[in-house]
Amino acid sequence: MKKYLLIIKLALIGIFTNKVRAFLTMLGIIIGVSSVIAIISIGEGAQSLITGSIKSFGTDTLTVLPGASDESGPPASAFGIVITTLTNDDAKEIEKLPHVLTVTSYISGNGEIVYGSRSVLGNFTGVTADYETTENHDVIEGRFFTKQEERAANRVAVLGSEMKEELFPLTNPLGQKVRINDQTFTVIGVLESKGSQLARNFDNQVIVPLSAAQKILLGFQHVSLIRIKVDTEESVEVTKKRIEDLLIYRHEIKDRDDKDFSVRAVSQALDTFNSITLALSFFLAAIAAISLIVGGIGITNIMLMVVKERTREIGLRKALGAKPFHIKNQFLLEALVLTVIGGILGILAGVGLSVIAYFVINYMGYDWEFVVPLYSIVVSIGISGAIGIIFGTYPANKAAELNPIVAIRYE
Amino acid sequence: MALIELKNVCKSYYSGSLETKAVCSANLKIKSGEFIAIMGPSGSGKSTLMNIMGFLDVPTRGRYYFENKKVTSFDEDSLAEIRNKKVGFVFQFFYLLPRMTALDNVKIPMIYADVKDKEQDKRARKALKQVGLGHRMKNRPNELSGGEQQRVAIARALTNNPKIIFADEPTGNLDSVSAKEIMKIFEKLNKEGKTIILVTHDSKTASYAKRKIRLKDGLIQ
Ligand SMILES: Nc1ncnc2c1ncn2[C@@H]1O[C@H](COP(=O)(O)OP(=O)(O)OP(=O)(O)O)[C@@H](O)[C@H]1O
Ligand SMILES: [Mg+2]
Repeated sequence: MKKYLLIIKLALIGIFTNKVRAFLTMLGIIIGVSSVIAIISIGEGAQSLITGSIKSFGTDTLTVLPGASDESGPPASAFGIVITTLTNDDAKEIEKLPHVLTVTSYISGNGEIVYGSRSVLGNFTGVTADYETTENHDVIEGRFFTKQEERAANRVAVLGSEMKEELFPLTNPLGQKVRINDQTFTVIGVLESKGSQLARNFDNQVIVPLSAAQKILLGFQHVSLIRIKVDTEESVEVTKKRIEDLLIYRHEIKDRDDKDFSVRAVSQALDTFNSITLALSFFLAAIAAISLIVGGIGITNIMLMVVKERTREIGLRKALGAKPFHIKNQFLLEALVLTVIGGILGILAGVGLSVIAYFVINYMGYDWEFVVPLYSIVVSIGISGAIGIIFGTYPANKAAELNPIVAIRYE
Repeated sequence: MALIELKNVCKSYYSGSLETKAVCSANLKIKSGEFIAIMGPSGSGKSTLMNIMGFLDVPTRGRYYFENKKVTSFDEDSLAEIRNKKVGFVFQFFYLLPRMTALDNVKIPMIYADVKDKEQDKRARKALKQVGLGHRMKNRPNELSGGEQQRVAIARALTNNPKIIFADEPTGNLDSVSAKEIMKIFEKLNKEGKTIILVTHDSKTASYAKRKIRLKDGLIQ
């Protein structure tokens, strides 16, 4: 045991007397291992963030978007195409289908929202009265508007929590008048804070009745989104099919492939995001693998140099009775010390990267968790050790094979 | 009974078809407890002969018996084991490992003999005291004089209690005072029963030996 400690001690002295060279040698390992740590940390964080927010989006909901689109690709509206065939009448018909609990239609726009001397450039969204139930999003002050108010296009508004903070940091907003694009609305409620979810954030919105948004603020009849809440997760698929049939009939579409809308379930989005994170992980893993291989070749290279530099030492050790396996073990151990130290530095760098990711992503407003799973550290140490052994074997064998007489006379 | 017996031992080097006979037809018997000086001009084959007897080199022809066992049929691990347990080497250029203390240098042969840590420490200290270096155990080679370094090397050669000590020009790099001190140590070790085989071309150094073997062009005269 002690002889291995002595070899480790000498290897460490060697590393510290040649810090720059040792560091450059370890760089590949450091980059490789830090990417492994960062991949796993960021991967797990993204997984829980995305899964969490998709779940809160509701796995028992369906979404109808205007325009045909690939099942998992971006909607047509993402390319700036405006399709006006989806209407609130479609939503009313969907509501009559079995398993459907509530249906909410949406239309949004942006503009200037003013209260007194305060003004914000922001979004308003027109929704139908079942919004609270469909989205599991409740008012915490005042109330939401009723079906009657929605149908009558009443000028009432419900504020998202951030919008409330911006316009009414100190005063009670209930009963106050705000101006949205120069139209006056009365504030009747404030919604609880929900945080941003995927692409949507209702916290910085003003919510008004759909009909008011269409008639007073925007001047058109179509909707940009219909959200449907069904009774159980199991009825999502069958309801999706029925909605498609219904809309194909209502929109008088002859060929299914010419649909002017698309219906999506959240579980699909979950699959999409899972495959995106998986692809990203593979990409980062490839980078990690390449740097680890490059790092390993660096180890072989440096160990060959070390063997050459210490040829005389090897000859002397053999003259004093070292067997080939003693010499082999010594140089393998030295390579191992080098790669494991590289691995430890890589873990530190990787944790550093994950901390930076944590701060950046949180700064961007997401509720990101900082996780460095223990297994990623164990795996990293294992990988570094394995690289030391794999890439140290060739130089160690070279050392073990040296002829003592030739080695001891080596200049 | 001879400790070492060489029968018609030759060592040739080839470069292309050109043969250099470093040692040729060497017949030699050495008994336990002898003090021998191998002498001869540069290139006469002294080191080659010593390396063969010290199990560092293998002859190209002839037979070598050590304690009546035929060495020429040993494999690499057995040769390492004999080098470790039966012989000690002292070289002209000391060959101490620069990053280790004198004490750690002396311990190297015991590491390969699987000697327990405590025992290693005890024996290394004893050997260093034996060569008069009890006060410099924690120094590194670059903090020691040439004569002191050579004494560390002798201590290192002694730790596994070998039968024979081979010394190739041990005083070749030392001033006359240090050389004398080193030779006194060898003389004392010989009195205590060690067989000593010394390579030198200096007659003053050789005068400590009891028997002289002269080499010329690879041939024992
Ligand atoms: N590896 C080798 N390859 C080729 N020739 C060699 C080799 N080693 C030694 N020789 C040759 O063998 C001969 C004997 O060499 P050796 O080293 O035994 O001489 P030596 O008597 O010890 O000389 P010196 O007093 O200079 O040390 C020399 O001619 C030398 O050139
Ligand atoms: Mg010589």
